[in-house]
Amino acid sequence: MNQVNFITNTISMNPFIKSNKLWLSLLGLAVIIVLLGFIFRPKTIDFQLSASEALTLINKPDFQVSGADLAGKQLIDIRPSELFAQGHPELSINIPVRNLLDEESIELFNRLKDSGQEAVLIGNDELQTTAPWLLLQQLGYQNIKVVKGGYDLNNNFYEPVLSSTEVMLLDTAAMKQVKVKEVKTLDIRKKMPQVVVPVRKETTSGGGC
Amino acid sequence: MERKYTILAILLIVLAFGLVVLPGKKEIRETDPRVILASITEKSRYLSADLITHRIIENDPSLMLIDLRPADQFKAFALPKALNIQPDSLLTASTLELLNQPGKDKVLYANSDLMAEKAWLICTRHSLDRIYILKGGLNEWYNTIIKPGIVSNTASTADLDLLNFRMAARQFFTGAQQTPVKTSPKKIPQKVNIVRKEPAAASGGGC
Repeated sequence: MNQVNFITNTISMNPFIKSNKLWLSLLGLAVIIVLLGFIFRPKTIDFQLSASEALTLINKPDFQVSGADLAGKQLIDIRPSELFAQGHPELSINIPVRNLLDEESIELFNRLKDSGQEAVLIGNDELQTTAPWLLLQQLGYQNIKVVKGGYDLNNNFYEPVLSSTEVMLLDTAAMKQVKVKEVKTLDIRKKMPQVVVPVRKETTSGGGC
Repeated sequence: MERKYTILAILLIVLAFGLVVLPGKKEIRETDPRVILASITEKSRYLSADLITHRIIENDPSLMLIDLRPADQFKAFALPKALNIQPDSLLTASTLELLNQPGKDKVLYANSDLMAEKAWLICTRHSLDRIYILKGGLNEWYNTIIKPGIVSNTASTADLDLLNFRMAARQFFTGAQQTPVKTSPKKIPQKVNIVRKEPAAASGGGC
């Protein structure tokens, strides 16, 4: 109690403090603002790769893992939880796409990264896993790959028939411009057989009075 | 008086420290990763082959097609008015200027939709807007528009209209003569001989 009184008296009696009250108040306010800003700063997830580094990932060849080669890897099923509940790969954990950057997910990814363990994203198909994979790569999780193909509703891994989905399948010869006479578009509905409904004549009851 | 300046100097140092602590502003405006993740879960970025075809035929001025395939494949065939941009040159100044054009829907495509998906993500990180993907890529477009389909007898009017549109589009792109729509084999309606029954009872009449 005496100490508090001593400090109060010192402050009120100190001529320096007395003559610079305004400046000191401003200084105190600035310190408080900076401290609050630091404490309540938004938690951001930053890109660890620059944009040009991210661009090189587009053509990265070894980002896929075969469904038969998943031993020792942490499997992360990114399908919706309803599908996961219907069936999922053994030892896999479910993190739906929308939850991939939740705090718990980030903690898991950090743990896997620190321990050097490889993780594999599993989805319905490659299209579902590609964008999340590329995003996580840019956030610095280079240990994450995706399964080739996907996981189907029969609880099996499948791989696409083609070695790469970026193979051109169209017949370019058929696409050559050939000028032909204008052809009317067909409307097959017009050629539908008409249904004839026979109209029966009512039999007359015949004569009678 | 000098002390006042000292306090003012300390005040400025504190504020400067605050600027150091606050997150720095990046030169390029980048989308927050969480916002990108939310965009990934939305499927509105995919445009169907039918919709793109319709817009090509209509000569829609707001449509900009970006072909991401290698130059030799682009030369062999590309969608009308498409621009060939290699994925590794997506972030060059000239490409960014092109992709930043206001009022244009930039539709990315390759043979499938995987390459376009990756390119879309890079563009989204760069806060480029109105970037879309041709669903299924050029292979699916070919299978949908160029390859004739088969319609069942029970097809709805909407299905038939869609098929007729695709037939016309096929003609637009290939110049090929239109073949009639294939329908699954159906039974020829049998002629039914209507046998009129003679009146059972003689008219008779009379009392």
